[in-house]
This record gives sequence, structure tokens and C-alpha cells, in this order.
Amino acid sequence: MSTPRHAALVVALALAVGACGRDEIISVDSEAAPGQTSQTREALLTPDRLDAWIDTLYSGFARPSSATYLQIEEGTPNLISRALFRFGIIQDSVFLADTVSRALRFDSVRVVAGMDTLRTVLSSSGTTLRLLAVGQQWDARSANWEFAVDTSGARIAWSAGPGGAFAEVLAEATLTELADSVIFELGARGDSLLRSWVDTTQENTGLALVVSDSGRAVLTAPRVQYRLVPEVEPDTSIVLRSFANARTFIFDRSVLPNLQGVLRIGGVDGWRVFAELIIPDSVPVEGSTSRFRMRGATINKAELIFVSLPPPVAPFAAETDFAATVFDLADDFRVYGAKTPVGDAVLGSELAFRVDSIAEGSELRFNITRRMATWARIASDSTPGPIRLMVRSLVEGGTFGFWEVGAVDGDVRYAPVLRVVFTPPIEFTVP
Amino acid sequence: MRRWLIAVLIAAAHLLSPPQVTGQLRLLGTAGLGRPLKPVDARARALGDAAIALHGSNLSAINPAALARLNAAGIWVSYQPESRTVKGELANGDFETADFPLVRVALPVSNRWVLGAGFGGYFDQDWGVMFTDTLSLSTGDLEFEETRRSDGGISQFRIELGGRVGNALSLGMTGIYYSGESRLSVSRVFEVDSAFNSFFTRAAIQYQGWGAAFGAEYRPLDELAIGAVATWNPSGLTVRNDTTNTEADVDLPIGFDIGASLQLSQELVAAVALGWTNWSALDDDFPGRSAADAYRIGGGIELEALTGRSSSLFVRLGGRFERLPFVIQGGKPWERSLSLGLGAVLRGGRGRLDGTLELGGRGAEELLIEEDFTRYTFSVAIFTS
Repeated sequence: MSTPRHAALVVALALAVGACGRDEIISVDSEAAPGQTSQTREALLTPDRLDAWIDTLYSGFARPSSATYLQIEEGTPNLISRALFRFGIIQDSVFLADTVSRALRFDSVRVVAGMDTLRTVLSSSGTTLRLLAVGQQWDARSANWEFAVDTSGARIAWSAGPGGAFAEVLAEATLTELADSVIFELGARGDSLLRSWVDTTQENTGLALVVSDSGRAVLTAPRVQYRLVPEVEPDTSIVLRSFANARTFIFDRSVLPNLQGVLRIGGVDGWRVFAELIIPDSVPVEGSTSRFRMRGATINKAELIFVSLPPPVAPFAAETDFAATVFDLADDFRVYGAKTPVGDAVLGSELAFRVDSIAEGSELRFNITRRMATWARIASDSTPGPIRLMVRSLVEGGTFGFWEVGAVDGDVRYAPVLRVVFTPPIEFTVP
Repeated sequence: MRRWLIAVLIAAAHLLSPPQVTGQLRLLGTAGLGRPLKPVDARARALGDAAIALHGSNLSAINPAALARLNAAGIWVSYQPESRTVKGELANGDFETADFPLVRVALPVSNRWVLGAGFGGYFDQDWGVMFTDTLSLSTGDLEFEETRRSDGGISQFRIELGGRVGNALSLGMTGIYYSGESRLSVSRVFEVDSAFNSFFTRAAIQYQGWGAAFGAEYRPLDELAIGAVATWNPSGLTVRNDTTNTEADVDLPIGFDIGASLQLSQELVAAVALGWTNWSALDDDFPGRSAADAYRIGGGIELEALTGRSSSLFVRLGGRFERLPFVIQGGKPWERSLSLGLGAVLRGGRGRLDGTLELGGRGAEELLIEEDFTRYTFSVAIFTS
């Protein structure tokens, strides 16, 4: 065999030396396991254990006109609330036999609204909902109990005083039991009403829904449904429908002011919690007097824990379950306030607020593991910035009421807590 | 002779009998530098690792003076699969490993001198354990499963020179380069519905160092060969953690081995070897653990069972006992085995095939654990003439 062949064989065999088999795993008792490891630690970081914890509250991110529902209520201890809506687009012609035919008449005109049966409360004798024509122009985004228009440029009070200005009653529906929807038949008034909405170049004043006796109804966006009888074929009719293009509800309560020590999440006003946390690299942990380095550790779980205050006074306590979630804030809210740009949602942070089971002192735990893991991964030779978070309801304006939790500057019993379960890296010793 | 053989078997069986064990568990091979490996071939394995002096070709990379007895260039390799069964109240399971303990070449450079090179094992650091435990948190107890692994070990690369300085005396020396890496990992997985992130970390520990071995083989009679080997590792081992960029120096010990081979008859050879390594000198290098001197004794017999025109078949029987260097929980671990081997010399010595079955055990006085192992060693050698 030649010398090069010798060499090649030696190299090949040398490589094979490294190709040793590997052991299987065997089961051992945890107390007796060999090898180096790192204990998983739990840190309950109250605000005083962080370098800084600042929180504040902003609202106005939702309003009744952007709510997912319309709330009408009367004769209850909570509030009086009335719904306003208008249909801006009424189809008054159809395409038949290659020609456009205008409507000869509108038949079977009805207004239909879905009903949220969980939030609707009928009186024992039944609740009557009344469909009314509104008597003056109103602005959906700014209309409130006092004013039909309430913008920075114009403020027009309701001509009939607070609570709206209504004209004739168009229809009534008495609810004695909960149903999926409520229907208002307009009868003979339907044709002329729809024609008035079509013929005018001005925005129509729309309709209102009120409770005429007592009870509460929570409705979805109303639609008008009708049969168009074309001029060219008066023996036929075509069913058409149109959804309200502007809607809101007005109520006789003002927005609650901010209170010291109180944070709010949710509600028709869109309450949001803004928080900034400056976390030290090493933190005290449960069951030890030592501090352990959290920077560079594996974050097994991190929770932003808010402690529930007593439920807000009626009608501001969330009337139904809702979900809230945590978002990253892209900048300093102490500079940009409510307009601070919002980043991505913290994945996995969604939390269901089951309002019937949240008692005073209950802990509301938002999972922010991914955000904390990002913080912990920042290179050890860098200085991590603060963690800035915003907490809001997942669907803003999804509930009328909100929930209140303790703030840093409030009663220490309700102070928020950052809970982190982490495993410091193993510093394998040599050998 | 039959009585003599029975006595050897009884002694070997005694070596294999398990001792009483008490105390806490530490798995074998997890302490210090790991579990020692030797660059021996299947023939030496069958003879209780008696590779210091042997009649016939001694292919193990233990005594460089044995190279001088080779009169043709050759290459050989050993392959060593091993099944281990760990038994104990605190641990149990089966291991399967496979190593190449020896790859070696030899090239006569003159009538007297033979040059050799080889790779061999030095320490094995392969092990893995798994357990479940509970983490106590403010929200309640949380179960997790943890796995700790170590893969790798330390190898030795040897450049050897052996030569005859007389008809009866051979001398040899070896330059040894130690190199290796162990990859350590720990993973901790929590209950699936806990929404806890798993923990996983790993590191690589690298080893480098060099040493030397000096050997001699003396044959005062044709029927008797005696040999000695001294191993000296002046540089120690440089141990580096590539994750933390930390380094440490670990001394390596000196060691002495002596052995003899006796041609009892034309068909029968008996061999024995004793050795000592002063690992206790490293005690300070292993804080929290300790090292103790290692010693070893082994021997065996080889019977030429069949002889053909140019081939022969050998049957071998051996046993050995070894004190391992790294003390575990105050207990000095041991390893013992009984071996049975077959070997064939083919085509007038141009080829050799050897296979050995070892049945053995490992343990330590203070361990609540024992390993039984079944180890096979296969060697193939090819010579140019």
C-alpha cells in the first residue's frame, strides 16, 4: 500500500474515532441526579422592588358610536340611554329586463335589530321598545345626552332638552321574553319614510329607539328591510336591506374622572392602562435572601398582576365578560400621552375578565412571558430600556362598563405586581 | 493445568461479585474527567487488559516498546459496543454505547525501529439522566421533567517509536496529545397546560494537553516477557468552557504499569499486568469532589486451539479489576470484568481478527447504584507481510 493511501486510511479512521455512540437516558431520583443544573426561581416584584414602576390611565379610545352594540335603558336605577341611528343608503331602483326600474312603492318596511340576550334585562311585565323619528340633525360621533352636536367647532343642544328630540312614534314592540331580534313594522308609514330618506340631498335625521316603560335592551346594529316594487313589473317585489351607516346611543351619565390609585380597563369610553417598568438585572426571589440575576435567564413565565378594586358603581361596572390584552408601547407615554404609538400585542397576554367571579382583591394575571423574555435576552453589555406596556380590552367599546384595578400610587393592598418565574443560566464549571 | 484454570476462574468470579452499597447515588462516569478508557485491542481485552508485555503481536497502544516486535507495516482498528444496565432504587435504565477505543498504524523504519501513530480513548463522558420533580411556587406546585446530558469525552493521539536495543530488550516512547470536548445540556420541561416556557441550556467543555509514555520490554527467556510503562503528563489538561470563556488547568498524573507474559507451552500463554496512577495528586483540582489513586490488575490465558497451514485460532480467558480515579460521594468506584475472546491469525500473520466478550460491573462502596455491562470488542488488523 502506498504512503498516501496509508495517510488517507489513517485520516478516515481518525474521523471514525469521533463517531462514537451516545448514551441513552436513564431515570433517576431527582435528589440524586448528577450533573450541574440551575434552580428555577420565582420573583414577586412589587413596585418598590423595581427601579421604577409608573402607571397612568387614559380614555377616549372608544365611544358609543364605535361600540359594537346599542344600549337603550329606562326606568332602572342605572341610567337612561337611547339609541340613535340613520340609514344613509336606501336602494330605490333595480335592474330588471335590461332596464333600470325605479321603485313604484316600498312594501313591508321593517326595522330589525339583533338582541344581546345576555345583557338585555326585561321588566317582569314586559318591556316596550319604541321606534321614533328623530326631530333634528345629530352627529353620531359627538352626540350625547345634552347635545345633538358636541364638537370642538360646534355645539348644538337638543331642541327638546337633554335626552334627545324626537318626533312621531313609528312603531312599538313589546318584549315579554328574550329573543334573538326585535322587529319594528313600519306599516303604511314605511313607504313615505323611505322615500323621504331617498329624496333628500341632506342627511336624514334618522330614527331613535327608546324604552318606553322600564328595562334594558342591548341591540346590535339595526337594519331596514323592505320590498321594492318596481315600476316596470308592479306584480313582483324584491327584498332589499340596508344597515345603519351612523349609530350611537346617548345616556344621562358623564364620563367618570380619573381617580388616584385607580386604573380602568374596558368600557364604552375605552379605558386603557399605561405602565412603564424599569427592572433591575438582579432581583430578590421567594425563599431566599439573595438576589438572582434575571437578565440572561430563561423566563419560564412572567405575569403582570393587577389586583381588583371593588366593582365600580353602577352603571360603570362591566355588565358582561370581556377580554383584555397587553400591547407594547413604542414610546414614552409621559411625553406623548394618550397618543403614544402602540406596538404589537404581547402574544399570549389575553385575559378573560369574568366579571361575576372577580371579587375585590382578585388577581388579574396577564401573561407577558414573551415580553419579559425579550428583555432578558438583551445582551449583558447593553442597558435595557424600560418595559412599556398598555393594557386595554381586546374589543374596545364592547361593554358599557369597565373594571377597576389598583395603581402604583394607590392603596398598597391593590398595588400591581410583576411575577417572574425564571431559571438563571447554568455556569458549567470546568471540568 | 485444569486446576490452575479453575483457580483463575474462581478468582475472576470473585472479582465480579458485587459489593454491598449504601449512601447516595452519583452516577458512574459523571465525576471528574469521566470514566477512564484504554487504547487496547480485543486481544488485550480478552486477557484482562494485560497489554504491557505479550507474546505474539501486542497491538494495544499501551507500551510503545511492543512496537519493536512488529516486522511489517500494519493498520488496525478496534470497535467496542457496550450495553449497560443501571440498577438501583434511585436509578435504573439501559445504556447503549459504541466507541472506537483504538485506531493505530505502524511502520517499520529500519530493522530495529518501528514508528507508530494512533488514536485512542482516554475518558468517556457520555451519560444522561432524566427525572421528574415539583417546583413550589406561590400559585401552587408545578411538575416538571428535567434531562441532563453529557456527550463526548477526551481522546488521545499518540506518536510512537519503538526499537530493539538488544536481542532481549526493546524500548519505546510515545508523545501523547490529549484533546476532546464534552457537550453538556440541561432541559427542563414544565406541565404542558402550565404555559411555562421550557428551560434549555448547553455548554461545551474543551480539553487539551500533552504527555509522554516510556516503555520497555525485556525477554530474558524466550518463554518470558516482562515489560514496564511510565506515563508522564507534564502539561496537564487545559480545560476551557466555550460558553463562559473560562479556562482552568488540571494536572494529569504520572502512572506506572508493569506486566509479564509467560509461554506456558507452545499453545498456551499467560499474561498479567498491574498498574498504578497517582490521580490523588489532582485532588485540589476538583473542588467539591476528589480523586484517588487508581490501580488495576488483570490477567488471562490464551490457548492456540487450532492451527492450520498459515492460520491459527486462539481462545482467551481473562479477568481484571480496576479502581477508578474519581471518588464519588466518598466512595471509590471500581470496575471489574470477566472476558472471553476468540482470535484468528490469518495468512501467516498478514491479518488478524479478534473478538472479545466481557461481562462486568461497576460500582462504588457509597453508591446506591450499580452498573452491569456487556462489552464486545472487535479488532481487525492488516499487515503488509
